[in-house]
Amino acid sequence: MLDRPEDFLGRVTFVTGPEKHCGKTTFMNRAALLARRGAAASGRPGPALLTVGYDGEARDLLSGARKPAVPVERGDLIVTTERFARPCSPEILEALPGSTALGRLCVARAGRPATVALVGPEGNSLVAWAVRRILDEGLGETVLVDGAINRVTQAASIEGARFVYALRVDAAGLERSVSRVRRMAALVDLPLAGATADESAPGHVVMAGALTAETAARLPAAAESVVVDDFTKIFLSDAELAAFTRGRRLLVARRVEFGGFVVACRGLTDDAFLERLADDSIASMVAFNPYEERPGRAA
Amino acid sequence: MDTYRPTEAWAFAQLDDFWERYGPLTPWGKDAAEARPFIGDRDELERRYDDVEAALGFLADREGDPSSLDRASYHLRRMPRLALEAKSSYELIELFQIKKFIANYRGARSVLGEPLALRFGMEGLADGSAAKALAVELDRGGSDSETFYVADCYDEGLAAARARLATADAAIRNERVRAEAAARLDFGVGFDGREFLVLPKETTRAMMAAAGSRFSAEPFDDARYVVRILPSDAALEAMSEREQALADERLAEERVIARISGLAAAAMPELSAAVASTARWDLARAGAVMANEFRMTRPRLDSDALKLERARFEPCAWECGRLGLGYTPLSADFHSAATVLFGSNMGGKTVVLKTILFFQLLAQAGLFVPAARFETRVYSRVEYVGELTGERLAGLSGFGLELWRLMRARGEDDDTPRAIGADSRGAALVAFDELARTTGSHEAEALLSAVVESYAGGRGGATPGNGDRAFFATHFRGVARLPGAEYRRMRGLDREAVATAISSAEVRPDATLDARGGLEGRLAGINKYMRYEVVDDDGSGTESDALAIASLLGLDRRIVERARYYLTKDGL
Repeated sequence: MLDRPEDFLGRVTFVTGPEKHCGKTTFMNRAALLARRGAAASGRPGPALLTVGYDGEARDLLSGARKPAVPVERGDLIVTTERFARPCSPEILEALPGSTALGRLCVARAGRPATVALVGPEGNSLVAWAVRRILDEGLGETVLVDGAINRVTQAASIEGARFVYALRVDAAGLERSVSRVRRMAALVDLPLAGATADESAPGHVVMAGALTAETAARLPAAAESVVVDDFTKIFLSDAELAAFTRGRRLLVARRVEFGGFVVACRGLTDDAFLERLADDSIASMVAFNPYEERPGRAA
Repeated sequence: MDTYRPTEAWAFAQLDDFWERYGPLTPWGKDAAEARPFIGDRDELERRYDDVEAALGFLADREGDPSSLDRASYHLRRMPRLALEAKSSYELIELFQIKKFIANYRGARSVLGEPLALRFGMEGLADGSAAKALAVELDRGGSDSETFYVADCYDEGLAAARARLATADAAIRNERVRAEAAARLDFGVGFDGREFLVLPKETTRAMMAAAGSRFSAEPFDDARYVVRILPSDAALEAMSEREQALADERLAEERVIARISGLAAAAMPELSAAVASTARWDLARAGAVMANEFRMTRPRLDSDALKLERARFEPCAWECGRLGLGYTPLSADFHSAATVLFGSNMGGKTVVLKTILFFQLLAQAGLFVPAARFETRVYSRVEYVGELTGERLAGLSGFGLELWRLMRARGEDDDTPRAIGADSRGAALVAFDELARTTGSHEAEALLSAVVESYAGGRGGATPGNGDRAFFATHFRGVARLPGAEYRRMRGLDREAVATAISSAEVRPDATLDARGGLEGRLAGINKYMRYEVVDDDGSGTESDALAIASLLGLDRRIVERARYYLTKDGL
């Protein structure tokens, strides 16, 4: 799972995670490599690589303290500033509206192999704009977006888009990580409101904003089913979510397709993680560190 | 002084609803539409109308050729915003935008054909011109006419540096492939293009013991290491060569960019003219598309009178459509500097005011209007005095606001700005909706009479034909009858039609509409019997339609009858 070219080819994948340094960019690089191979074998264009905003790596690059982080090959598409695209001898294909603190953004095609720093638009709408431009103009078919979890909403507006959730797990944080995975698995599985609920029925509440412990407490006692815009608007812990859904049905107005978990275990084995997770249905959605060589597993 | 904006008149006339249908496609066309122009220069307006007519001719000519029409909008839609100031150095993105603009400018000219393109000022890039030289140079870089890169052909040094880079990259790649193959062969470890691997401690130790110079290792956790392939001597040498070639490439690229930037700076006057002419065509095309959609006609700006024939106030027509009500276009001529318009509630007098302002503002935006005929003249200002949606004028504060708007409409505020192209304060078109509604009827009629009088005397010009023109919608029948003013009323309820309906049992004998439709149904019923026409008012009318409408809506008959009694008793 998530280790074959066809897992990424011809679709938009948002690589998300719960925090910085959870392995999003590293996983995206691996996914890009697989997609690149698949594209070359099938005569399709190379992958398009985007990020959302700019992180410490890009800022550090300004001081020369760190190297660019994303390897690209000739024919790949990238969204970044002209300056950060220079190492790959870019052909400018499109300019994004507006500008960032690091300069104007463009969609560029790499003219040669290089490592580049990606800088992305800050706003959700511009991320979607760039993705749509790449797809609609026929510049690319495979798009990988390195982005925070709160940007997943954008995936919902792009047909065929989905997201994967990368996280690092260590022994000390095992409980918290397992809880996160369970919570996310529950969220992505929430039923779609339109298909399952009579919106005019008594006890049906459509929430305009976020579902938090506070807003949940203010819901009328008669609220039997509650609809939120999408799962990113739910800010309940695993335990709170479980308690909430014991009393009522929780639904989403828009569903975001889920590609799976990418779990990098450190200080514990993959089996130990699965054992603690203790849920076969969720386990089937888990892929482990794609940079790890395991006995009996071919690269 | 700021450019004059008829903000309140615009809001009252509900132009924003209609404006959304006006769709220029280029960044500059969108900017112009967003600015909601109000043009006070007749020559400029006539030029814009001519443009729309020319665009209408183009659309009609290509009606049977949809792909040509598609291409016309395609090229406009793809025009990027570009830097139009001359600079010593442009960014790659800016050069890309210039190239993309030129490609689509050429495409747009090609679709229009030479005569029409020249009519809009869209000159071709002449041989020997700075713009042509720039276009030729930009065309050398990029895999198609809209993309750009600093191609090898621009500079011999660039090509040489990139050839060295390619050689170095190939060497680095070959060394990496060789090292990965060796790692697989020697240790059964497959890097498979990955920058690093996480390997078990035992495997790592074996690799480091046997070939420590080929790998680096750092702990991942207590059982695994992160292992990387170290570059071979040959790879290191290639990397060093690559760095030098990169530096040389950079210098060569800067030379190229500086040269092209010089060409771009020289071409800026031509590019600026091309942008301006493109925007002109874009606005004309958008105006023509809208004119076709709404069957709009060219306004005539040479009339002392204000004349409307089958004028459709589209926002109202849409609303009526949504509510299932009939809509009556307005046909009326107004000749005097002051027109007083009487009418009952729901009679449509406010809609008449809105229609007049809607048409005048559209005309002075340089657009056609949705009427069989619209004759008017150019005003320096279009003002509205009355209540706006969302406002509630009541009490002293409401009266104060009304008076402030009145004074501003009359130009008694020295800071009143001017319209685009207007060389003086000039004449104003003013709509007063229920002036002084918030004060007592006696004083209100006196104030209204005085204001009507001030306009009827040819305020703002030597003759009614070049001074201010004012329209007053009012309930107050006691407003003074003054020379120079004309008095009109909405025809209102068609009582004969109501009587016929009663006889055919459409309306109940007590003259009440069937209540089964609720309020909406009753309003629809009144709409059916209301005649939204402007007719002359000779001042002889006594009863407005208010009591009849109250009766139709189902107000207690005894109250309606007593109201009629008091109306007669007071001799009103």
